[in-house]
Amino acid sequence: MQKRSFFSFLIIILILSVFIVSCTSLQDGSSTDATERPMYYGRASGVTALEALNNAKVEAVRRAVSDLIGPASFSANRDKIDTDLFGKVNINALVMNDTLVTLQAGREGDLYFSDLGIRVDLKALAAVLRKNDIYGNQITPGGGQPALLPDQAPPAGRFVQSNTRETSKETASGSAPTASVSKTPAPLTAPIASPSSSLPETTEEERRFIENHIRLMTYMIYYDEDKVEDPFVMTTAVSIANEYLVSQKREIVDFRQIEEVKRDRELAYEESTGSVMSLIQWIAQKTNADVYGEIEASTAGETQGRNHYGKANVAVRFFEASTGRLLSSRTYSSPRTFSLSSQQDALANALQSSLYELMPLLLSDVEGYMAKALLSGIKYDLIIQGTEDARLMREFMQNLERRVKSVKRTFQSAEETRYEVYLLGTIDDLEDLVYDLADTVPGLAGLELIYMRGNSLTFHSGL
Amino acid sequence: MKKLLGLILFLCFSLGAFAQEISEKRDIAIFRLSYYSWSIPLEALGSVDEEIKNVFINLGRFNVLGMTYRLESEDIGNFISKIQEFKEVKAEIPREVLLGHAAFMEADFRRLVGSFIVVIPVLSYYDLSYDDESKTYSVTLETSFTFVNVEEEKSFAHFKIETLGSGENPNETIRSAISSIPAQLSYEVRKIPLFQIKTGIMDISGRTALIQFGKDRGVTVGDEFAIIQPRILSSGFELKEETGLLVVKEVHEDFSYAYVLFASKGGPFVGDQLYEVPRFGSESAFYGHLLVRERDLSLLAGVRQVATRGFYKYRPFVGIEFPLALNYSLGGFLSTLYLGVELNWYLGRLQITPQVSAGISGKIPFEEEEEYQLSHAGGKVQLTVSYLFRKNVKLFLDTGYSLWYSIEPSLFPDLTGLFAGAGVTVKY
Repeated sequence: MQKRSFFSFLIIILILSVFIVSCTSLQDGSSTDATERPMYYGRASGVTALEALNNAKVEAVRRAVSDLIGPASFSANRDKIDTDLFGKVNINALVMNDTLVTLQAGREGDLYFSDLGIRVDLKALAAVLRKNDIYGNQITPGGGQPALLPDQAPPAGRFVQSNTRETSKETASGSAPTASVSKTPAPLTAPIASPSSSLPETTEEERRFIENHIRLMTYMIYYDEDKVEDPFVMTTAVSIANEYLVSQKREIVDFRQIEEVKRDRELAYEESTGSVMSLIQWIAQKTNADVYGEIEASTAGETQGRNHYGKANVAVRFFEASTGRLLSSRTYSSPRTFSLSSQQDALANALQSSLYELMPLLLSDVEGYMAKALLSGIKYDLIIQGTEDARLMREFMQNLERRVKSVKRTFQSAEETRYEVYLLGTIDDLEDLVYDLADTVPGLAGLELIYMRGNSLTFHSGL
Repeated sequence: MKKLLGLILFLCFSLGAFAQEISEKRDIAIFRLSYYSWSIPLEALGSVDEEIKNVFINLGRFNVLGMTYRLESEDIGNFISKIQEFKEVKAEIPREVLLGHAAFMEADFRRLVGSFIVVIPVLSYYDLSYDDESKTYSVTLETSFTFVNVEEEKSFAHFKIETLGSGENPNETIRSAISSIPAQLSYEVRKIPLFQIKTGIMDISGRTALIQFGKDRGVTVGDEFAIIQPRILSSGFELKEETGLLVVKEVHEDFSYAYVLFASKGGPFVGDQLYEVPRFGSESAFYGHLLVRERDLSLLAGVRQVATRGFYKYRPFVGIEFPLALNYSLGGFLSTLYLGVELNWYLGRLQITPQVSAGISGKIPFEEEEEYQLSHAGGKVQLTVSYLFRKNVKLFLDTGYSLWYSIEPSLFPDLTGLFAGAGVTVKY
């Protein structure tokens, strides 16, 4: 008996040791994840190879700053970061040149490009950010804990050349020092970090879905026609906003498509909505946009001698297309712009540059808001026709409730029943789900899809 | 402390002082040479003016503007206005503005047309004299240069250049003085921090670095660049340290190859910042040699002047040395003037330099009534091993063989034999 107890004791000790060792190694693992000198990647172009190299370093540090202070603070301090950080501090003070790895480098047309990875000195970066009163997330006024970030995942499928001393004369003559050349233009603006990464309540699958959904959202931009002064100027403003979205790899609805829908269906809009919904929202829904933006602008011009001046006050609001829910509203008053050619030129510059200033802030707002809003699911309209059996439909709804974030019955009659379903999934996922549920509810086996549009699914019960 | 001595630290307190890492070509306009009431031949004035203009063009780091207005403008204000009008016509609106990504304000426009530097050269002193005894003319020219930043409406640099000349007639004398202007002016301009080349390392192979800029910015073989490592203090201030030195060995149109003389912290690395080290382009080597002559030992002291700017592997030099032990016994100073060429092998801070030279010696008598007398002719071969102790200082050991044969054996003994010695080189 004693021998058996002794063995049991030994086994317990062994299990405890394994547990303690595994805990220790886990701790070690997490501490090596985040470091004061994380590897970051950047890609940029320049008139010379050296300028491209420096710009790529700036890009890598810019990403580290965004992760360090958070996307919201990054957006809010964008100007300060550009002028006080990248405009005044030698970039070599913030990176470790001995860790530079060249992923790709070469020449595209008149411009050189550089795609590299480099370790960023977070201690130095944090000191500069604090000196310039740029705070957020890990950067607090008091200092305290050292700033730590994990290595950024390297971009896939690119050739890696470390900072070794191998070189060739070809490099000198301006040709590519590395073998591969990418034709993808370099994004010179900061990537907007996924806001969903800061939402702890989500599961990994949900987080991935939210990230994907935000990344794949379609945007539609238009101007407020009631307050327009010059349609041409407003059209260029819309183009600038669209250009920014495209540069950030976001899907957009083309301006011409909006105009076509607007022209063809103005009557249909009156009939179908009775003017309850704004025309822009209606167009956004018809063009399958997830988010739409309205630009309002007032401009003022002046001419003194041969000098022309312009000024613009711009307000932009972004809404969720399906609900009309306000996602972001920002205003901007441009500086007094100048042109030697015409007042129109000065006004266009004032308006366009204002839009370009606002767009990063708006996009950050929209994505942050959507990430939070999506936690309660995407809203879908589910319509089932032929619902004479109310008890059957109730059972269907109860089963549905258990599989989605929430469900609300908005209308019921013998002809049809309407539900608002909130689901963290695509419309195809909802369709599959409805079929699954129909199989579990006796009497709904004949249910079939008869119409799908946007976020709306219409089935017939088969009864 | 030792480490500190090796470093030049720049504490960056002023905003924007080190924001620019890659030099851009500066727009510059050179006003015509002015002079006070000196009575100077007009041809001479024209020559000085031409030399000044050529220096700025040949330096490569400037876009020289307003060449057609410099002579017709009555005053400096008129000259500036004309260049501003010219720039207004030629002004290129920034791409970001054209794309609608940035606002363009009147201040931006003023900056665009006003961002240039005006150089105002003035002949501030002129003295031509004639020496009846030697029947030669000598001249002193002093030219001052003021650099004005038109945008800020303030001068930011000023210096004077004094050049001397001599000759048998006034024209030749003045021309010889004018011929000294370019080298000095080029050096003084390169010394101005705003005009110093700031560049970086694009690639490394062994101890050879590929650096941006070449003939397009006036980079010359023998030019030196310091590796600058910026560091952020915990207070957020930026500190810059010199951590290495490179010497340019091959210059192409828009890039150059440079040899790494030294670099700390395992460097240099691709992307490292480089600042030009402005030098006149010369080294002065001060040395002492012990010559083993038959059974005697003779002490020689000398100075060797090596041209460095424009040369890398082979460099010419001139020197003068004094066989000290013989001077007293001969009743005068023996002095040897020599010309030579050296071959340089760089091994990091270490430099191995075989040299060959030839020259003549002569006696400068103690007594005034005696005349200068040629004493020796010949040359020497030697091997110098030097170590770059500081950025501007080298210590070296010499050994070699002298072959100075006496022209008058009855008066002067041959100075032949093995010699060895040591010295110090100052780079500037």
